[in-house]
Amino acid sequence: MRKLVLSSLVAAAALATSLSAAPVRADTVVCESRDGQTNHCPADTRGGVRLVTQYSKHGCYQGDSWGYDRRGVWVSNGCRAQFQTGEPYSEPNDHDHKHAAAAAAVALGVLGAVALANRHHDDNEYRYEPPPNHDYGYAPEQVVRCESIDNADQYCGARIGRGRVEIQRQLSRSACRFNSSWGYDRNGIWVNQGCRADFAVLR
Amino acid sequence: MQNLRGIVTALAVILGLGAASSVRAALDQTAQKSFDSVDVDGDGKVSWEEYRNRMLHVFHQMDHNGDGRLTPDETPPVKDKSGQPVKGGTVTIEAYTASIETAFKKADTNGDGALSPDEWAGAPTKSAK
Repeated sequence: MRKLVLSSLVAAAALATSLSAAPVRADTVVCESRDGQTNHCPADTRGGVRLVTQYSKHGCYQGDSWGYDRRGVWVSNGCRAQFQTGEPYSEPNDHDHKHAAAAAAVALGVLGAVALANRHHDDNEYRYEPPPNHDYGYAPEQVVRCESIDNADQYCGARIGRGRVEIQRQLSRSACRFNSSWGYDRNGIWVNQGCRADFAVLR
Repeated sequence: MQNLRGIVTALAVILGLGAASSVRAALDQTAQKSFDSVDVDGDGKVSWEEYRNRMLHVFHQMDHNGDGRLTPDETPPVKDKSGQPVKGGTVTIEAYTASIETAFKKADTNGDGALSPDEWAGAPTKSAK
């Protein structure tokens, strides 16, 4: 009798498991934050979410300007990207690799990963030789340090105007999350909950 | 006289080594500076997400008309292995992303999903030996 109860329990547990593990459909969703506002895009996130292609110039950092919950994917601070839900994503293989690899070599050279770019050159890739007056790179107009000490609110005046602000470098262990522990308006940047960072003002 | 020549040679070697190591130090400093500018959360590693964001920043700077594609006139000069200039073709943001992901995986020699300063600078790491 006891054995029967036990096996029924096992069967019930197995049934519950199989029901809850209903196949998660693979899908993609493009989610866009307009005017820096947070946007929520409904999606089946049970199988996890992966950012596949970032379209925006504005940064997409998980936990800061994108993330997901049980109901879907959210984006903020100008992040626009395509997200993959469900099954693992496999790379489509129909790209023009030659030109894309050359463009990537340019970006590596610009960012100053010179040795890295050169090593790829050894692997028969491409080499970028910056022209004397190249105007690419990661060059914020202004960098503002703003720190929430002892979790206190802090406002740091800066000329933001119509520019946008991103974290240049986080200094705190406490997470800096856009619209939660940091944000900005036309006249400056605010932080709280222990977020400390150097913020880049970009035009 | 022979001694003098020996001393001069030794001096030259020392000076040469000094110059070489100072060049090496300067390179390291440059690599470290560029590493720091990409390591957004300051944890001493460059994650794929940090890498992607900075690389995309450059993409958008090159994409002057903002249509999400690099056309031949928007691509700066690149040379291939034999030193021949590569004539640019149109590069979509999807192809670019796939390409930088390949570069990232190649650089991540220990496969932990993030680049250490050594991996960033292309230096051989202990695990790669």
